[in-house]
Amino acid sequence: MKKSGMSLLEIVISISIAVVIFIPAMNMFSTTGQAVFKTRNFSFANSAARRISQRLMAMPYEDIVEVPLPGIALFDAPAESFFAPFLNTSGTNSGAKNITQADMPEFYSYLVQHDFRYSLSVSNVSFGDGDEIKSVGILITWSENNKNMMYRLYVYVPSL
Amino acid sequence: MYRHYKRKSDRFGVTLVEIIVASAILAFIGGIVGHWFFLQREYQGRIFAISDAQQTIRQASWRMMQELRTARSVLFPRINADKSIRSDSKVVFKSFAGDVICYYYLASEKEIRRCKIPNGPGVPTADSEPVARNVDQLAFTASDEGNRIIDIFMEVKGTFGLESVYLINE
Repeated sequence: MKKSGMSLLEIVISISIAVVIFIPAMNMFSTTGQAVFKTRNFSFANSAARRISQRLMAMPYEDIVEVPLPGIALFDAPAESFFAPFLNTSGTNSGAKNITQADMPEFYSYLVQHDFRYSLSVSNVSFGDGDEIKSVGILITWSENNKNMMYRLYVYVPSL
Repeated sequence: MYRHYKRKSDRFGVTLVEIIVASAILAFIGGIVGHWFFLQREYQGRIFAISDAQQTIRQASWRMMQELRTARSVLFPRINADKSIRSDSKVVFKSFAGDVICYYYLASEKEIRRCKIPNGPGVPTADSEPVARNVDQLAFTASDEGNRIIDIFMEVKGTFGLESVYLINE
C-alpha cells in the first residue's frame, strides 16, 4: 500500500529528537543562571571577609583569637562579634539591631538560606624583640546547591 | 467495494483525523516550549537584575571606600555617648584634601548622592550624577571608639553588600 504523509511513529521520533536537542539548550541557560547566583554569593563572601579584615585592624591585638570551623553564623551572631550588633539608628544601645528574623528579615533569610559562617585561623609570629605579628586567615563558608563553599582571605596584623 | 477502498488509499493528502492529531501534538509541544521560553525569560530577567545589582553595589562601594579610606576624620556618624554603634543613611567626613564630603541616601529617589564643601573659598556643590541608582537600603555605621571604622551596608534588589573601611589617616 502506497502511503503519503507521516506516521505516528515518525512524529514520535521527531519529538524525541527535538527534546534531545532542547535539553542541552535548557541546561545551557540554567548553567548561566547558576553562575550568576554563584557570583552573588561569592561577592558577598568576599565583602564579609573584607569587613572582618578591616575590623581586625582596629581590634585590640590580644582579642584576635582563633575561631575554629564550622565557625560562627553571620545571622543570630553572638553579641560583640563581627556581625552583632549590626545597625543602630537610635542614640542609645537599646535601639541596636542584629541580623535576626525580627530585625532584618530579608537579609536574615538570605544568610540562613546559604548558612553563611565565618571562622578565623590565627598564627602568631614573634620577632624576638617584643614585636609580633598575627597571620589571620579569614574563612567564609556557605552552602550552595548542597555543596559546601569557601572563601579565604589572609591578613597580617602587627602588635604595634 | 474492494476497488473503491483501494482507490481511496492511493489518494494524496491527509485526513481530518490526521490533521487533528498533528495539531494536538503540535499544540502540546508548542505549549511546553512556549511555557519553557516564558520561564526562561523570567529567569533571565532575574539573572540580569542580580548582575546589575552586584555591579551597582561594587561600583558604589568602591567609590565611597576609596574616598573614605584616605579621609582625615569622620564627622558623622560617630558612636553614641553610651559607646553603642550608630548608623545613618549619610556619612560626613573630612577628605584628605581638607574638603568636607557627604555621601547620602535619598530614599524617595533610591539614589546615593555626594556633595562637597570645599576647603577654602567656594560654595557647597552636589554632584550632578548620583553615585548609584536603584538602591533599596543604605546604612553607614560607626562602630569603633577610635572613630576609625565605618561599616557600609547596602541592598539593591535583594542583593546585599557589606563593607568596612578602616581610615588609614586617622
